[in-house]
Amino acid sequence: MKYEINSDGSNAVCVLSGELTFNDHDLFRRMLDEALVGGTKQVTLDLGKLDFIDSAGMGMLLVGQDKSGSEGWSFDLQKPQGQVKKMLELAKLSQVINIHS
Amino acid sequence: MVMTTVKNELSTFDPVPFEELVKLPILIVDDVHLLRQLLLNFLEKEGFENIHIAVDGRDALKKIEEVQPALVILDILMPEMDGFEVCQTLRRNSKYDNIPIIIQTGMEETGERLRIFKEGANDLLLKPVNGAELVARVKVHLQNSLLQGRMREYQERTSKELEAALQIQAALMPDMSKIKRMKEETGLTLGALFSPSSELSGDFWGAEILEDGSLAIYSVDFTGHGVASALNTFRLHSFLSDGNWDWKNPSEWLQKLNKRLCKVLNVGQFATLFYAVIDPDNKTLKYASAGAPPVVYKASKNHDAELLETAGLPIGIMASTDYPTSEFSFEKGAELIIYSDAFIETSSANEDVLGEEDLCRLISEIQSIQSGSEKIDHLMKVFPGRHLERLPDDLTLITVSN
Repeated sequence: MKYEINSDGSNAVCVLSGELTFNDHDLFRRMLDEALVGGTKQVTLDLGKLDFIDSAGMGMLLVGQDKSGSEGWSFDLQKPQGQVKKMLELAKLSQVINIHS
Repeated sequence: MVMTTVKNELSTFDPVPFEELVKLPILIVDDVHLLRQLLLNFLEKEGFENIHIAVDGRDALKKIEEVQPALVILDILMPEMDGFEVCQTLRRNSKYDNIPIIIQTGMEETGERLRIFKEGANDLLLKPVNGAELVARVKVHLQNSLLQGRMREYQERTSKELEAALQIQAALMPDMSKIKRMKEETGLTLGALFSPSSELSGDFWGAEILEDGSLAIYSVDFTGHGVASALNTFRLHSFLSDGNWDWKNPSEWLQKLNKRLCKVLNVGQFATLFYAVIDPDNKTLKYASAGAPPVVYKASKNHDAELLETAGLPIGIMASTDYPTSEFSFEKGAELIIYSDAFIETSSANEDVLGEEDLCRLISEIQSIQSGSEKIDHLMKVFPGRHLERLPDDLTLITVSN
């Protein structure tokens, strides 16, 4: 996975690209930490350029959701495409995470 | 204070105590008496106490058999087999291919010195040999070799333990005799394949013969693979072996299992699961699914193949999740293919992943095959990962036919 963060101080959009899998645990955590620097209120993961996600990758999304709940910021996903969209739908993740098309 | 302590520990960091190193057998090979004596003196003065001597290449091989040295210091130009040949002989022998070899040489040309490494030596010392340098290199190589040996032992032990654990895991799943009994008692034919991608699997499956002659079957895939997800499969198995489970009712069964797993799984860990009850008398298939890959289904010989809707929040995430039961007919000749995602996500250099059309074609093809294991064989013939040495994820493949 690769990521880019665009932040205006209170809203951070992380643009993910490549594949989000088992090997990205540390990187994913680091991305969230970076996005949250300086009192960010809202983190959105833009999945438009993400080509592939596996179950461990979905686990990371759930970790993000859980962290946001306990730390009091909000967490959204947007623009899942292709395989990623299919996986999120199969797992009905929209029941627990806000997903915008 | 704390900082100073750390610094001291670092500066005296010594992975293997010197007292241990000096006891290791070292073999010096040189045809010139004076030079042998010189090397011996350097090492003895430093405290090494287990040094052996060989006078040429042939003698070296003999002494190596006798003393099993931890390190060899080898001359190149010798009568009766030169140093290069000794090197080659040792490296071809699996018993000795890890012994560190330090070559002492007068060769100044880079090409010739490179040949020393090509023949399998670990290091070289330029003649005339400097005592302090000799001792320093000997210490480094002995230490590396000892640590590598320990690492190898550790790996061997761990891999043996994991192998034993995998056998335990495999033994918790239905074996050939249970599959045969299922056929006898329910009339349903099962075929199954379970193939971990690493030492242990995060996939798991099970089947139960119910009192009314129905067959309950589940296939589960925990996040990730390897030891951590395998431990969760053991957990699941022990949950299911104790307590009253409403095996007849997929929705109830799955909701109860979900609630129990929600209590014990860490955030980010979950499992996808497909649970089905097939009643051969009433010719019905009832199932509930927690985000398992779409199951391939054919209601009878004459029906078209289709993919069952399996979307659902994986178990272990939200305790209050509902998992509705769906019901389909399961006539004589009906067929199911249940699989973990590795079956449709694995590609190879020449072959793309299996798509929906492939799955629908395959289920028609295996319908005419009688035995469960041959159905599995047929599916594996087209699985793009069949030639891979190591699968990227655990693979489970189950066929059920009426």
